This record gives sequence, C-alpha cells and structure tokens, in this order.
Amino acid sequence: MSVRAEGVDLLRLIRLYIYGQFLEHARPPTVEQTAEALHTTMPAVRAAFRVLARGRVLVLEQGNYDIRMAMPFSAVETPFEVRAINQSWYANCAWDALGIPAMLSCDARIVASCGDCGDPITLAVMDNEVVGHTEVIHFAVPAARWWKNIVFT
Amino acid sequence: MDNWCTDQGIERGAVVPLDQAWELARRWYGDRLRPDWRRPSAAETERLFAEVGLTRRFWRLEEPG
Repeated sequence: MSVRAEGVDLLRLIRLYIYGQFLEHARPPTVEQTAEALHTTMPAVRAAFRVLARGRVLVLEQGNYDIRMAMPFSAVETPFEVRAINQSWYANCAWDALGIPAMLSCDARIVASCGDCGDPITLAVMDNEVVGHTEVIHFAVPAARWWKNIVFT
Repeated sequence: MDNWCTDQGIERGAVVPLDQAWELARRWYGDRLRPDWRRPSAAETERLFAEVGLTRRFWRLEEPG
C-alpha cells in the first residue's frame, strides 16, 4: 500500500490526525499509533510522513520517523510555551507561539523567555489581538533560507 | 538589538513588532486545520508577506519558505 495508490486522502487524513493528536495530547503520534488509528500500514504511514516532510508540513527527527515539528507545534520542549483551552503546547519559535492561537482562533497566554536577558516574558492573545508591551520578534534568517536548517531557524 | 546580535554572534535579521507578527501568524496559520489546506507557493507566500507590510529583500523567497 503506498501513499500514491491511496491518493491525497491518506496524506490529508494523516496531517489532520497529527494535528489532532498535538491538540489533544500536546505531542505527536508515532508511526504505529497513526497506522492503527487510520487503519493503514506502518510502511504507508512512513511514506506519508516522508511526503509531508518533503512538502515542509512536518519536520522529522534525523534518521527516524519521530515527528519533531508540525508547525507551529514542537514535540520537544522549547522556551515558547502556549497555554490555551486547558492545554499547553510548545511552539518552535516566538512567531510559532503566536501561530498556535492564530490556528485555533482562541485566546492564549504565551510564556517565553527574553532572547536578550533570559527573563520570562508573558504575552496574551485576547479577542483576536495580541496584548504585549513593546516586545519585538527577531527573525534571524532570511525567508529564502528558513528551510536550509529549520531547527536553527 | 545590534548589541544583542553581536553578543549572539548572528547577523541582524528582521525585527518585527508584535502586532505585525500576529497578523502574519493569523494569515499563515489561520487555515492550517482546514482539510483542504495546502502549503502556499513561493509567490503566494511573498504576497502574504507583502500584505502585512513585510516587503524588504529579507522576505523574498527563491523557494517556498
């Protein structure tokens, strides 16, 4: 069974399943969990993960099929924690921390650390607006090079 | 910001105010959970950057971001 044989529907289902698992459990599913939940095979899920990673929808850990990122979510702890709707998640970067409430259309509290002094920073998203102070986000890498090393970006 | 970049050993990139970053996040991630979502092309992404006022060369894409 291949991704190609099943068409785009399996990719779509897997992508939504991954996001659903992040939303509910704050962590991504394994290949095995995904295969079981979607009644498909592990080789089909691995193939789909590869396609989604090539398409820059996911980032996999090097050398295996563990999901490191399903943007804006991070599977590993980062300095950017987002709390909303009785759950908390780690985002990949400051901008992705805004991406979580943007994606969910919900209010949120973002707890981060200042890249300069390390002090904790708390931001809020309320009623579709970000409530901060005078904070700025520094994008270090030009957009065209984001994916040369997405973990650093 | 310049001092911080020097301390970090990185070049100064783009400094984006929170409001603008939020607007970019809303446009970039707002439809991510839609079943028919697809990754925007490079041209679409550049248009999206421009719509929120990010027009410097820093935001140009030679390939999808």
